[in-house]
Amino acid sequence: MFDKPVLYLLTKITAVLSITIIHYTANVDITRLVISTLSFICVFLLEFLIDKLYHKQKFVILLVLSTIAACLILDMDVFFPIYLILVIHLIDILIHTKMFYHI
Amino acid sequence: MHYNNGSRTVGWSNLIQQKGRGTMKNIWLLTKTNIKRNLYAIILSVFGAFILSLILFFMGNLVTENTADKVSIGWIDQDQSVLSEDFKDYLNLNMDYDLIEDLSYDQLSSELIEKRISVIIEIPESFYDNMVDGVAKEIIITSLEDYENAAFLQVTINNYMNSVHMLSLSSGGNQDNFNQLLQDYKKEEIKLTQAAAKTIDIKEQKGQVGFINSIGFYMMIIFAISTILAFMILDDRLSGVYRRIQATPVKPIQYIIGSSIFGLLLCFIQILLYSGYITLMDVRIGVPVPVVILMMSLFSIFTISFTIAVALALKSKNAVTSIIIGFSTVGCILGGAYFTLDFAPKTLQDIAKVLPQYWFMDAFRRLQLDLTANIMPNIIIIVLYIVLFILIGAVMFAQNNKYS
Repeated sequence: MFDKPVLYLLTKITAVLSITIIHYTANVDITRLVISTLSFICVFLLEFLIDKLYHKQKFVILLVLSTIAACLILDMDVFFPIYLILVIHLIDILIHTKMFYHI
Repeated sequence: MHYNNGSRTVGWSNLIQQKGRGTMKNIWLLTKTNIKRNLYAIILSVFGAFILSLILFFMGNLVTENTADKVSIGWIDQDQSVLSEDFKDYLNLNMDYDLIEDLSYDQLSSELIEKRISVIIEIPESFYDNMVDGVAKEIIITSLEDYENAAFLQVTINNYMNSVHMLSLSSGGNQDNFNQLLQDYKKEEIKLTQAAAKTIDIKEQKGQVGFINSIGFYMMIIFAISTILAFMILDDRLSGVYRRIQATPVKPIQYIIGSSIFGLLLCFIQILLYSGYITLMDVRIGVPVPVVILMMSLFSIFTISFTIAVALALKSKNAVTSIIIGFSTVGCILGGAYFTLDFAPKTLQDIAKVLPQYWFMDAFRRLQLDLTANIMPNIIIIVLYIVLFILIGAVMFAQNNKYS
């Protein structure tokens, strides 16, 4: 079975790839699309690595917050699916682990 | 902050310095061992640079010979008259075509099929007699694919035939009058002033074409050389050397860094020799040499990070070879390393934009067209690919460490 960091990583990468494919068919600037896709995947991998290797929650929170900020600054309409997953991830990290609805 | 270490007090900074020195020493030892273990890899790297320089030299010569030559035409004269001789001079001297004579129709057909000549022109028998009588006799032109040259030649022939037809009408069907008018017509020289919109510098064109071809092959060669690094890491993992290293003061990360430095050394030898050849031979490649060194270095780092990630993820040499050679071959073809994708379907062109090879080649192509072109997006994309594969490698490395 996958553990939570792997599941979050896969979900985020799927969201990024979906956005890329949707916007590729909408004839947007490919260069910008490739740069943003690669950047997001790199950040998510770094986040996964920190979570798995060092278990530093503070760094993970910092990375999630900065990615949310990037989504807001770049284009909220485009990156909304990623934003949504990031918010869920942030809530999941911040709430108490013994809560009834905790994943 | 200080702590008491027996009889003496040691500062944190000294401790970190000592630790840093130890790390550097271990990495240097590992790199040196790798060089001693794989001396043939350095020879291969030098040989790779030699091959690249040869490609640069020969491809440039080959392509410019084909493009800058005169247009060749096969010539069959079954009339052997004054008029056909005059027509031949017109094509040869006035229009600057290169006429290939003294070959049979079959031989000329072979030349045409192999694209060494553009068209075959046949002057039929009694061409002269018919023209004097005012009866236009058809000249047979055989062409194959070379539509531009054939169309241009058609216009040239039509112009000539119209002029001769006018002479024929003026002579009233009299052969002597016709010959006289033809002689007078030849003397009438209309001076044309020609000004080239763009002067083709053969040396520059040779350098540019040779460079763009050789840089495509560079991507293939660098992947082939990095296979040595992948095999080295895989051998160490499978034979237990990697585990024995873990038992020593050398850390696994130091082992990876040492191996990466060895891989980069192989790449940089090639880059320095290749760019040295360009500088020393003064090859005008249309791109500044520092930019070439920068882009090639970035691509080398990408190749090394990709190779290490693959070597850490897989457990058999066959799988590693298949992935590296498969990615380099398909990536180079799709990325436009050997030919441009301008005529490829749009979907294929868009798929190519996912590959780092495309952005690498695109930077050089854009710079050759315009030296002030902005290649920053290309650099950013290649750097992002490097970061991506370093991170994938790190994840693989962490997984291997966890389960070993």
